Amino acid sequence: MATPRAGEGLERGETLRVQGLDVDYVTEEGVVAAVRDMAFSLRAGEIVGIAGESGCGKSTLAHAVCGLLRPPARIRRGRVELGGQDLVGLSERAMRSIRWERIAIVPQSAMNNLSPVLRVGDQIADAMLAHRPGTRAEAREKARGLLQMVGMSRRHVASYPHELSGGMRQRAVIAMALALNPEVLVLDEPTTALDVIVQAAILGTIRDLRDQFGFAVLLITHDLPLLLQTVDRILVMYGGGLVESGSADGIWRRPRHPYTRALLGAFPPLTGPRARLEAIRGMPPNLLRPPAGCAFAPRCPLAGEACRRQRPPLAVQGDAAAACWRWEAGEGEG
Amino acid sequence: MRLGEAGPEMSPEARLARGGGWRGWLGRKGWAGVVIIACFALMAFFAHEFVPYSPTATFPAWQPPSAVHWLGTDDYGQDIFSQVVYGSRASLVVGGLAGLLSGVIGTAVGLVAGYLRGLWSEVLMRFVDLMLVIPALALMIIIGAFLPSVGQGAQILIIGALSWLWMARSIRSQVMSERERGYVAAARVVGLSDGEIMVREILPNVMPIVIANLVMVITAAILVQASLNFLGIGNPSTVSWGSMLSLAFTDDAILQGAWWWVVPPGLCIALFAYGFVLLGNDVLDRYARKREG
Amino acid sequence: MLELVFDQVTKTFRGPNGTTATAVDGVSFHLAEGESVALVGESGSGKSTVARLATRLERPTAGTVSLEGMPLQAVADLPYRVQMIFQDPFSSLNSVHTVGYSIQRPIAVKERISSPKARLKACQALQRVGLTPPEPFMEKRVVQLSGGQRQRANIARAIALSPRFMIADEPTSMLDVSVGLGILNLLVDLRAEEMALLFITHNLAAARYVADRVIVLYRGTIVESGAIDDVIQRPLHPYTQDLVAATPDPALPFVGGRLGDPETVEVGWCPFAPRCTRRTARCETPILRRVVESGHSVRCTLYE
Repeated sequence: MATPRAGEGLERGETLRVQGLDVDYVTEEGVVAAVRDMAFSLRAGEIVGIAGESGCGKSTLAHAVCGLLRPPARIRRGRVELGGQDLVGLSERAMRSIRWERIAIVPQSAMNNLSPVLRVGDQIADAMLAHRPGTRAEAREKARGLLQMVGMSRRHVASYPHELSGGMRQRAVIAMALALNPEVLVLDEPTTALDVIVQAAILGTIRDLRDQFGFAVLLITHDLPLLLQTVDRILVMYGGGLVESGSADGIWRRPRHPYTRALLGAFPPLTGPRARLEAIRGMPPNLLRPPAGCAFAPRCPLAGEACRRQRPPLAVQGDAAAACWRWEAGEGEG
Repeated sequence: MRLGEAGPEMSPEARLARGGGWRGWLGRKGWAGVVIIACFALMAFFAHEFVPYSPTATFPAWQPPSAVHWLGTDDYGQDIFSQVVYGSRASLVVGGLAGLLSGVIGTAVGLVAGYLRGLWSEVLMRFVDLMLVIPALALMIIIGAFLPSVGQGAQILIIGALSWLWMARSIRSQVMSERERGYVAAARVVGLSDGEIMVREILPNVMPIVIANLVMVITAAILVQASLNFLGIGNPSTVSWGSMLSLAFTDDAILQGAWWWVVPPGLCIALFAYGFVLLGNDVLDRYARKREG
Repeated sequence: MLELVFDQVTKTFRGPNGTTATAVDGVSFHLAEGESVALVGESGSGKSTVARLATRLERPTAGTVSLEGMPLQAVADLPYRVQMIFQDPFSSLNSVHTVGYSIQRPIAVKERISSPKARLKACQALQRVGLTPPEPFMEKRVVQLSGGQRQRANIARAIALSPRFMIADEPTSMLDVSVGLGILNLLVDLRAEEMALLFITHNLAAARYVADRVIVLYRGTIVESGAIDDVIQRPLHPYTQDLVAATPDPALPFVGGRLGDPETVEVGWCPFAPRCTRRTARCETPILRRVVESGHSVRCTLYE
């Protein structure tokens, strides 16, 4: 990370573009439609959050973007373009030279998967040496710099994972992901296991690093209030598909999709009036037999006949978009 | 990881991994063991139906196998095949009952020592450790030597009382890990008694370990019973595989080249025990896989 | 007045190599009948140990936990006065039993009645937690239920014993938000039935949704307590201030950068001192709890 690409990055425009992506899980009981018709793009220097509950397909999407899907999961159709190059269908060897160098992922609970018998600095150095030739001393010096960059002390290169707190280990894993100066950083539930104070500190660090180096971030979490506070743009997923996207501010002030509204309404607020909140009734769809119409229709207070029959397209309005037949009807109630 | 994440998104893989558990209780190995055990059980139960001669009827001695005597005769002229078939009864009765007896003791001690912490558990396990360093077979021989006569009942008691030690250790360690699980704390909070928690909450969860151990204990009991009979501790008039081998040994069957007197009972002991080993291993394998998945 | 009281309670666990770890250190608080109190703290703050002490799953190393003036160890019918909902809905029901058995068995033991009579009461409890109609749920096994349904079944088992005090140990932390909200609403409704609630959570916003009073726990000690809106709007202890600032609230700007990580564990008098930006030499000396105004107290040298 000695030579940041900051200046040029910000003007480069889109770095990652996903189009018409479908991901299936092929099981004994049939095909699970884990992700359907997913489309979005990521501009350099942008932090985009993906929000949704268990089973909405957000983790599957993260793995698909990084070429990490393994059977029984498979990409049925669609494109994942990184700087104009389609990654779908690339050989594992070709993918290996792109993953981590250009698109890096911090998988869920990666901080617990550090090797317990190796020093943190050596783990980072080993990973770097596997991709870029160089001497061990250089790699270790670089690891020191990386740890310092993510807010740790340089002496932590000599620490074993068990000597570090959860937050420190997560920082170390992020340092490792940033080692080769990637264009895109994918974070899958990076702070779920951490306390809120540490969570805020780590997200603050990620935002600072983004400002400094200009990489794009795809941040996946179930914590919508956290996204509203910390990211530029939000994608809301439900039942394997994108139901709404827009700026964080726009989604907070004017959520369009009934699911987004219901999800926002499920988080008790820290300030403001104390009112009873209503939980979303019903259960998420069974993606073995996805509903014909809108996936949210069975639980939606606004759903009509059309909603149950046909899947709504993503209606774009400026920089916001929602996949709902009746969002205008619900505007007043929000 | 949040357990809530194991929703539809992950369940396909989880379901595939779990799929094997639903296809019957046992795998191929386990069923093979059951078939072997069932064959011997049928043989013991219906011995009188198809055995050609009484095991004590006498014919010309040292006959090799022939159409008349399928497995030949011994030095008294008794029919070996008939003896082998009748001998299965002693193995089944003594092995089974002694195994059950030590299974009950082992399970009870394992449950109590694993569930109750502190003094009770310590005292029980130190006692088990003490017993484990004494060679059990030697102890049985000594006890047998002091008793005026050792019938089947006495054999069952001696074997049963001395074979549960390993089983108690194995069940205790399983219970110790089980008692840390949420449902045990919950059962204590809703006011169930310790006895009820041990028997009705924990025991069903460690049942596969109990069964696997029980199978091993029965195997051991069968082998010990054969050894005791071979060493002449037991009622010599009862026909068993062990006493057959013992007689063959003292009456120089090997020198006479009478392999038909040594091989059949030996094979039976090995095969019968092997059936239990197959069954026990299969139960354990399945349990381990279930716990991982 | 019925009260659950912690008086200078300390719980020390013994490690494998003679090491000791103090999970709860001199904690004092009380829970009055019909009251709803949140116990907020991060992982390792000792909040689950408090729950286990309140239900006699652990014995205090020092100090006493008492119910109506009687030490907890002497309360014979504790299960019928203090109940608990566990964090993990997946392991707190025994998978070898049906849901019906798990709920009706404690009722049968408590009231010394036959299973069919207990079964009726179990059905009523299921109905109260929203698992309706109850009959099909009675026959189900745990694996057939979703996470939210399991947690509801756990709550049904607890309330079927008609306790006056309910300890809820992070009952929603393993559930999805919208499912968790259903559980929170259920806890709020139970309170309306005059059941006192000790709601243990790491989430200050959830605490505010359920409780009136909050106790903030840090590394086993109470650093601040008071009316919940008071504490959120005017946090006094530096830790509480960080906690409030870090809790995501879309209505407020993000303030992530300025907060520190926990790094070293030094034993001083204030457990937060190593992370505190305003620590002084006096933080190493004993600090008394100070009541700042009615009901709002803090333990910090800044307010001495």
